[in-house]
Amino acid sequence: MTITRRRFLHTSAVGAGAIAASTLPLPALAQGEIMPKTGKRVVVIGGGWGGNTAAKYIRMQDPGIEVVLIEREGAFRSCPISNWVIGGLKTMADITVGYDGLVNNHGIKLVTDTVTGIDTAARTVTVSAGNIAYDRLILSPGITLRSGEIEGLADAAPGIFPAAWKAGDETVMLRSQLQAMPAGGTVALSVPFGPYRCPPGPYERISLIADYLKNNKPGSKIVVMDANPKIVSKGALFKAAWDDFYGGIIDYRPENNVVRVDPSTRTLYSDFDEVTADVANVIPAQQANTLAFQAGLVPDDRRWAPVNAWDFSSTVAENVHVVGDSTDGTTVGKVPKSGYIANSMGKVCAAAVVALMNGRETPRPSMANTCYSLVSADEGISVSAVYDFNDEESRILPVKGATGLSPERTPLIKQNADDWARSIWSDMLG
Amino acid sequence: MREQKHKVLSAAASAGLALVMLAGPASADEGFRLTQTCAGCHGTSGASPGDTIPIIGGQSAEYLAEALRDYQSGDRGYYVMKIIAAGYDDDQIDAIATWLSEQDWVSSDTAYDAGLAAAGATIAQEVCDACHGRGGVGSDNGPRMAGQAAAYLANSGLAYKTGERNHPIASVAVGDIDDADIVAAAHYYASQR
Repeated sequence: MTITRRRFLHTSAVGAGAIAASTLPLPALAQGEIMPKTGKRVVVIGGGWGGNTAAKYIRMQDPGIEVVLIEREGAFRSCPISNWVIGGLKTMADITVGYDGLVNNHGIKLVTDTVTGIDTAARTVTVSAGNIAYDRLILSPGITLRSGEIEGLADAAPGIFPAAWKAGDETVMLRSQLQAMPAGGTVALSVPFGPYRCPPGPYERISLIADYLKNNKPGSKIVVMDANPKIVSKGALFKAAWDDFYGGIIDYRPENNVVRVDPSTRTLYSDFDEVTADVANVIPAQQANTLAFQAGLVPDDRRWAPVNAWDFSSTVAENVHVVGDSTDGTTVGKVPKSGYIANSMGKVCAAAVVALMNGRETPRPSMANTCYSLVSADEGISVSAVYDFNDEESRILPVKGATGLSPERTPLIKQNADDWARSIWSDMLG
Repeated sequence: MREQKHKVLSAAASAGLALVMLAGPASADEGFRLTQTCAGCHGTSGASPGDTIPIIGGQSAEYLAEALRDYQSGDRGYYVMKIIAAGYDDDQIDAIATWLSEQDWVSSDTAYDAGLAAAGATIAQEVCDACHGRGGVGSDNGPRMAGQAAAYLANSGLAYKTGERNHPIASVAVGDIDDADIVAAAHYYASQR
């Protein structure tokens, strides 16, 4: 595939924003080296769960390595807990954390800019201000929505079908639309085929929207068009809460993949069904962020970036690591695309990078996960696992006996979820 | 109160104060390797900032290892840690406990109720300090409680009463204390930063 300059600029204007030029001989928009490299340097792209963690944990283990973190946003906005904002339990300010902790406490050099190119052969990242050289690159760019797969979605005006699958303006928009909706209204929510970011996320959102409707918008309902045959994560726990709390409010329709939308009527269509709504939350299928594609880290016909699960090095490019939701789950092992896992990946990657840059043997990965979800404004549920590297499969698999769900929903689990967020945000950014 | 203290001391004596000794030297690298992921819930180096998830950095190694083994055996019942503790073998538990114990203790800055703290001081000093050290700073016989978050301490104390946790000394110690006094003692220890 040839990326022309015209196409590149067009994609930048309408796409996810962070677009790279890869190793293709594309004219850089800016030529100069803006941060002359004097010693060992790691460049981290993406100030989210994986990137922040990797950046901080490299500096914690070896302050001799210069770490440059490139992030286009001015502050971190958390996807986990963003459903609490949609449900009215938190504000955006509650789930926004600045990058000053990484700069002041760990000496990380923050570059607030958009990546316009990655040259893995020359070991250079280009941002709009110029070039930044690296010894090792860690890419944690997150996801890109495959909006083009749903007919009519790309042409819809912003705000007609907000996905709100990256915490930010659409999160607030969805909240505002729910508040503005008249009683007796209909909310539609579509769940894509996996793998997508945060497997239980749609179902937590459905629960919190239903709770909000129940208490604030009498006679309203939420129709769920789920591409999957059943609830993807924590199914029995969600189902029990829905049966107990939201009878007549949640209309759950499995195997109902949204393929087309009509912005003029705010209608969602599957091959055999249609729902016209007052508020429509369309969550498209997903793939690795466009940046990973443009950097040449995703092979043809794949959607995610394959890695070696031992150290999260790219199987495609040298001196490049990929962590977080962009990674190809089949190469990592049996881990979900969760914030906790991205945090764990960042740590495994950081330890490996520090070892590699000091000529030492890379340590064996050890990972864990706990995902909390609310089933109402008052009660939570969770799923947990401990992971080890499996030598036969060369992948990261759950330790036998060390996986499980919360046996029930409780108010304490909601408190645990709140505390978990405070802990892991401080672990990434403090 | 005095009777309760005697009960605690006699329970301690019959248990021989035999806390589990660590099996062998655990490498710091191995401890860090395994413990990094604990930070997802417990904060970097175990300095948990929340109300219901405990601070584990700077806690006693003997206590941490015993707690993880109690989750494995069922003497501690909270479901999350039962799942997590099942993921580690004996040597790994020792490595985790040792590494955490070598970190700085960072007291919680979560809120506590000053009135409850004052009310809980007497029972805390009469009953709990015996094992947990003066003001709950920890001793060879019990973990540090000073500066831990009030909600976590209250939940823990009550868990010994409901049987969610079983411990030869702690279960006896809280057995005759009113729930309200357990909560007050929790606020007292939370205030000891």
